[in-house]
Amino acid sequence: MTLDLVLKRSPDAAYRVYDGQATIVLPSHASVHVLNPIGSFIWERLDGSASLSQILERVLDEYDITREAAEADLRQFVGSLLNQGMVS
Amino acid sequence: MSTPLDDLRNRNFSRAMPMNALFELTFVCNHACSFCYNCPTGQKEMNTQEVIDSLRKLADLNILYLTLSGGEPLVRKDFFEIAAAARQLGFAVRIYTNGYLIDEPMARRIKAVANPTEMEISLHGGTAATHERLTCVPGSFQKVVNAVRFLRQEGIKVNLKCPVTRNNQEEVLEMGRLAADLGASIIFDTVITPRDDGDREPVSQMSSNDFLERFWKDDAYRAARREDVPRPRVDHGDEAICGTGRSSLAIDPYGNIYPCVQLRRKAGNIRELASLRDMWKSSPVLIEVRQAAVDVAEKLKAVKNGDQCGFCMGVAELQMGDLMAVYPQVAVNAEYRAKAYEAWKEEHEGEDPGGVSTRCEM
Repeated sequence: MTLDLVLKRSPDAAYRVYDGQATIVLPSHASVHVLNPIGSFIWERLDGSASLSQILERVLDEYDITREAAEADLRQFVGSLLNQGMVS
Repeated sequence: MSTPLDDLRNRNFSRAMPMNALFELTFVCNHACSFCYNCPTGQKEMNTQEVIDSLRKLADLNILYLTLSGGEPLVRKDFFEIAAAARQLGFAVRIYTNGYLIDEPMARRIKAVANPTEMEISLHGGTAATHERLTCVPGSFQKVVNAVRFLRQEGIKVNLKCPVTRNNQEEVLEMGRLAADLGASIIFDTVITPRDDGDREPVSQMSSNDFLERFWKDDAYRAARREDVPRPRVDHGDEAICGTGRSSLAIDPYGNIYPCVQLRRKAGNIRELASLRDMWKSSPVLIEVRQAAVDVAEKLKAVKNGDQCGFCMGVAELQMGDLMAVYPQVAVNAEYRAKAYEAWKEEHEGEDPGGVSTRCEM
């Protein structure tokens, strides 16, 4: 996956953020996901305006985490969102 | 073992951060059910813009689950405009309908525009004769069956809801089979409630004790209920018995705000509020019912079969004039639930079926 990708949350996904945790409902899959704070931070920025590399920089600004770890987590997380049709 | 969603729901519940709203879009209905609890006042119902403005305020309150109800919500000509706005505002939408207007094109449109997490459809009998005796609309039974089929074809989850009365109690098993055949789940409610104006006539139609004993105890009904034994409520200490005014709220077609659909104490009018957030924190009505829900949980510990009471403060107030009074329908159901639970334990010596911590959050 290239970090130049610009992704957008699926319009199917209904969500709210409670205490920094995004709660996402996907009617088509009859599923509900609760993201951890970093996942929620990324999710809220997947609005079709920023590339994954730009979002990675925001994560590094916000959280005390190494670039390597943040990038690996971002790739894994976004890959999972893509697989589940939660972003496109 | 609890899931992250359970943990989040419990945290929000404890801190009275609401996640659910039920919006009665209209009291107009194309059925005439004799036990309907709605009591239209003749006031002007909210127009499209007022409803959409109200949805914005609910989104600002961080409501996630929005139930569009009625009356019959699909009779509103602007229903899909409202549903589209709800989706746009990020709600997970549920629709509570009698299904009468849902043909194949309508089911497709519901999927495309509202994309509901689930549809709830009323079912009043396992046969056309019984269902239609209660709805007073010829052909309405087949309309429900067709509606469920069309919605399932679209991949929409359907829950059938059946208030059980003397009139349909002998068709519960048939309704359970019908739901299974249609790929829908079904919920039987054996506690009939008075009308919102306090009229107790619907309560007189409550199912017989003989039926309740069978319903809660007999193997044949377990599949229909989709549970093996009526489990007692788990005691979580000072937890409220339900989410009224805590995790949920209800709005009627005139904009009046209530702690929940059953507890009709007006907390305000959404049309008159710039923001719901202040009202949610400071409303004396909401503060009182939240505390009452904690107090009643404590009170039920001292009531016979209290841990088997599916207690509703709204019904208690409407019927008994006291938020915390145990009303006959809940007491008799609790009695037969407790008997069934004891019988199950005798049959399964040494086994513990555990308890339930589910609570009403409508």
